[in-house]
Amino acid sequence: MKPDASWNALWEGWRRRVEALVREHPLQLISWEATRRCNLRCIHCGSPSEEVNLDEELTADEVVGAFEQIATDFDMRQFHHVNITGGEPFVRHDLLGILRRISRWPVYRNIDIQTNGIVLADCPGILDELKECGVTGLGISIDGLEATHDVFRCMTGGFARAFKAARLAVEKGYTVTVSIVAHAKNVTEIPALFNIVKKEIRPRNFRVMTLDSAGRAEHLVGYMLSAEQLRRAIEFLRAEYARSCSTYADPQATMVELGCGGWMGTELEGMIRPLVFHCIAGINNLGILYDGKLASCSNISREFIQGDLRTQRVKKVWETQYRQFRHFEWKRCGVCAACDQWPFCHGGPMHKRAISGRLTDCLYELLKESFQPFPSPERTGPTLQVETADE
Amino acid sequence: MKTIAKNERGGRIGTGSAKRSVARAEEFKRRMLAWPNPVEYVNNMYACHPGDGSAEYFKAVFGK
Repeated sequence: MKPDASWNALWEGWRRRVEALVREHPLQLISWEATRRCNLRCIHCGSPSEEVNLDEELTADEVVGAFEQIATDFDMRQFHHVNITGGEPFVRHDLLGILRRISRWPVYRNIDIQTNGIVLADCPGILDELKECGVTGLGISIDGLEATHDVFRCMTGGFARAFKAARLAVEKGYTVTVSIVAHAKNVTEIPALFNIVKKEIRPRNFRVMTLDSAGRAEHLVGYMLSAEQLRRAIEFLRAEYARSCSTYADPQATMVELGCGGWMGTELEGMIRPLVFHCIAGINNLGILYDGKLASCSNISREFIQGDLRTQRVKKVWETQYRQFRHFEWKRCGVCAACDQWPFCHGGPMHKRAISGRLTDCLYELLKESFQPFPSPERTGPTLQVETADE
Repeated sequence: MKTIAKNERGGRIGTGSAKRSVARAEEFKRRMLAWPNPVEYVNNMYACHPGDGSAEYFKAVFGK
């Protein structure tokens, strides 16, 4: 079968626009790791508190000063939003005060917070206050059905509270994403969890993240997804996406998506999530870590710290120290060296990369293992056997 | 069990609504690839929403 020339032209246009974005690297997103402290002790946590010195946490004044400096120094015309991660952001008692102060700048009135939902469930009045502080979106983690979530998160009642927080947030008008970290022990629960979440919470997004071998998860045995387990998760996403994507223009619809765990190949990209993925770490995304260190995203290895806002001007670091996030060739090693997807993927997500160039895992490679034979990109993509309802 | 997938480059796919769903998804994919900002929605994925700022993207990509 011959390649479809129109698809090739579309991919080429997309690739060129990515390259232009890299050259221009406009600041569009700030990921602020508000704290590494947490009120849970999840067994899979990728950014656990025990790995860092918590005394180094930025003060409220330092945080506000950094956001003010960025709004002053950067061209913010293309700026999109602030994403707040942790740790658990709501264990910072000064969080609302910080948000009130930074949201005085109009560019910072589109803020998302990633949370386990515990504080919001226990103190739902916070949801009203957040609206006044520029917060528009909430990401809440639910890692399986009730028993699984509670074991994984080491808290009886954790599922009920996360569920309650997500439901209240939707009722209050926030754009809500419910995320599950998929691993070997919960991957079979994804379809059932999705059905419950879609029916009872009705979030805008249902996101499937894949477990990364980082933080506490680096020491877990038997939790990483096998090729077959990944295939099952992808099959679910592809079938549900195909079934429901025609409703996605409606803000009330619940979308499904694979998270930022990796590039899935030109055949599957745009068919398992409402986007074509490219890691944006350090390209248009600035990471501010809990201690003021500057990175390309709040999720990547601290090996990639490029500066320190306590001692340096953020704009200068962004313009002079982020070369390794905008020049990809150093990553073209290991499985990437001869990969046919390199022109589009450029080495996948930075949070799976060590400074040596080593990649912890590649979902595209893993998926290929479970599709035999795996067609060449010049011909077709993987043919998925998907269980569908009778027509 | 039915084979519903193939891909952007054509080939055999299932019949009926499954076939139409895949064809529609492929049309949306074409629109995504043509969108001016190649990471428009990736920006949202790094947070938790398509907010108001992305309404245009969703209308253009997933609209009729």
